[in-house]
Amino acid sequence: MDYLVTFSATSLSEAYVPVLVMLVVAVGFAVINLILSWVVGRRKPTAIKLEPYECGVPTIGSARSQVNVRFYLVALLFLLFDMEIIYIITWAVAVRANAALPGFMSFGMAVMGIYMLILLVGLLYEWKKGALTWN
Amino acid sequence: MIGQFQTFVPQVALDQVLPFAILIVGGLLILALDALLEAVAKMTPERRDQTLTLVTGLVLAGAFGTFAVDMLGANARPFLEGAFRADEFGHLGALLIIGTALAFVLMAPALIKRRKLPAGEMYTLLLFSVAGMTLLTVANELITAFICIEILSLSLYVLTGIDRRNRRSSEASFKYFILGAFASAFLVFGIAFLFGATGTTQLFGDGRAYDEMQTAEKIGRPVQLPTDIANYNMGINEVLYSGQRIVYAAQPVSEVVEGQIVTHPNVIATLAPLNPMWLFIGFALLFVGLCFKLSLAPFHMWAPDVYEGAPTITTMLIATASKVAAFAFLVHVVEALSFWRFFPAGASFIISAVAVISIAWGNLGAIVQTNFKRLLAYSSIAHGGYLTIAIATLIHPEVFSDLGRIERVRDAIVFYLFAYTLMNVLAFGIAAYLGRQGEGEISNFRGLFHRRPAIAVAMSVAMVSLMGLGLPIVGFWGKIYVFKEAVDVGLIALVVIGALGSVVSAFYYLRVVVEMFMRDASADAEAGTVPQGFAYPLVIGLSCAAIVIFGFLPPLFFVLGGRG
Repeated sequence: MDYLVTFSATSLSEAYVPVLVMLVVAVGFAVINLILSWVVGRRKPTAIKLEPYECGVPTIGSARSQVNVRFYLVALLFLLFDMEIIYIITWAVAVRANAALPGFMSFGMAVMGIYMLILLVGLLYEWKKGALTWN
Repeated sequence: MIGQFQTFVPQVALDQVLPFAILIVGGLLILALDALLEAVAKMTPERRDQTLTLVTGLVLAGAFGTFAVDMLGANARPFLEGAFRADEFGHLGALLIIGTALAFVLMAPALIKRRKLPAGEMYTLLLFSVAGMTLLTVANELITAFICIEILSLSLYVLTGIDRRNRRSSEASFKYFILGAFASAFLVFGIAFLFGATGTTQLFGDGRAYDEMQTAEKIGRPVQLPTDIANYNMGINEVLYSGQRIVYAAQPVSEVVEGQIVTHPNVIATLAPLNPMWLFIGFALLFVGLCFKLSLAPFHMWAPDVYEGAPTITTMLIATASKVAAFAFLVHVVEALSFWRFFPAGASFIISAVAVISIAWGNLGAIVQTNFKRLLAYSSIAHGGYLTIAIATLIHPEVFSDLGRIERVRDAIVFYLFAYTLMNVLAFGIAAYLGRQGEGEISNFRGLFHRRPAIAVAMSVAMVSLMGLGLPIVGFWGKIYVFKEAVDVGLIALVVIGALGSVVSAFYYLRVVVEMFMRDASADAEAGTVPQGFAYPLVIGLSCAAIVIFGFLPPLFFVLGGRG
């Protein structure tokens, strides 16, 4: 009886109207400011002004130097385990909230165990393939 | 699934998840073995590759066996909280996919040796992509299906570019990835719209709500969704049947009763009339996303470049297995959506248009191709078009009111997919077998009959079957089944276009045959080297024999498929 669904209510789309308003305000603020500074501002470029940073150490060489491919490898591995943390946090919150449900704890542990096992095999693979050694 | 805020512990039936578990655990096992065999067990690279090939073959054979056994239990009931739903159609698709993967494993070692490819990565990605494809054939939930599509796509992107030293392979991989990611965006957007239009992402419910609504209709009461939605496992099909949609409440629902505001903290959703525009936008976006994956025109731009650049056995996998999976999913989607009685009228135009454009573009584009793999790419676009005629037939109101006819159209689609898979495995198998000679220009085939008569005859069988005209051969019966069902519901125009397309296709398929039987003095001397061993002849021989046998006895397929 609690799930009676015969009358109207605040729908999901109505609830997100403030988000839409926020979006419009944010984009509008940025666009208006850019246009204003372009219309009102004075432009007198000098060599110093055109540098990436007007204060600080003078730039040396080109900004488009090549980066060692190993850095990308490290970044990839970082991304992998970073994502893992996101899942574990959400999982932990859900398990804690539902710990009272019968069988939920063991189910949650089993699910996370499978997930961890998959990650572990991945870690083993990258370790043995030498992705963790710099040279 | 719907509207339940409490979490649940799903019931897992081992026999239903076992085939998929074998594939996924097998993929992880290959990954671990690849890392350990050399470093810990001190195996030589050759020995390691052999072991990996063997293990992959065993894993696939195990999955094939469990699928074949499990097919008897494919009862079209949702399981794992409605995420999956195994029916006969999906299971036959899964068997086709695993069969193609077995052909891949048989042909891979020669390529790995010749091009010095990483075997462990290749087999792991193969098993993961096969897991994604087979799961897609039984997927019953749109987000689950999306994840399956991503698993199979990401694996295939890497398998396309696995020949790193080959620039064409990397280029193909990059193009495939960019356009595939683009298509995925369409897919997700479509899923979001379908969720908004119905209030659920599950395709088929467990049928209880449907039964109740049908009973209400029989005794003349208004057709309405049950009010206690949390107690039902409802799918898009049931929501659409009622002509309503579920709207989730962002705040506790309140109403005014006798001048007083009464709040219902437990009410989580309300019902509203269906919004047809959302539904059609959702379907159109989802369909466009799937068209990219199926390389149906006008979303086929990636296909020729990817087919040409990818290693030939990967091309085989993209052309056959991934299409079987995506078609199975498309069939399930249109079947669920057809429960809304106005859906077919709106959607059949989009589907028919894609069918016509694919047939025309595929066949006309193939005429000017000089590269064999590009030719097969355009040919597969055209074949996708013929199959889309069957989809248009499936959602025809006349078919949809009759369970027996739905079954017949699905049989036609499955048989066509079976025929299409066989022909492409044969054609790509021969191309891979001949190596540089088969993968390049069509003119390289000149005089092949005088150098390798058996291979030339097998290739002729593949070409004639792909053409599918006149001769009793498997491709011909596939077309006949599809066209016959379409004619029965009055889609004459589509069938005429399909038949005209087949006539045009005779030109470019027979050109390959003619090249092979011509004598060419310069090529006579150099026969080229081919991989040794039984693997390639086995794949070529088996698929060639199957094309001929099922060509003479097409009903045998349905007997083997468990239909008497």
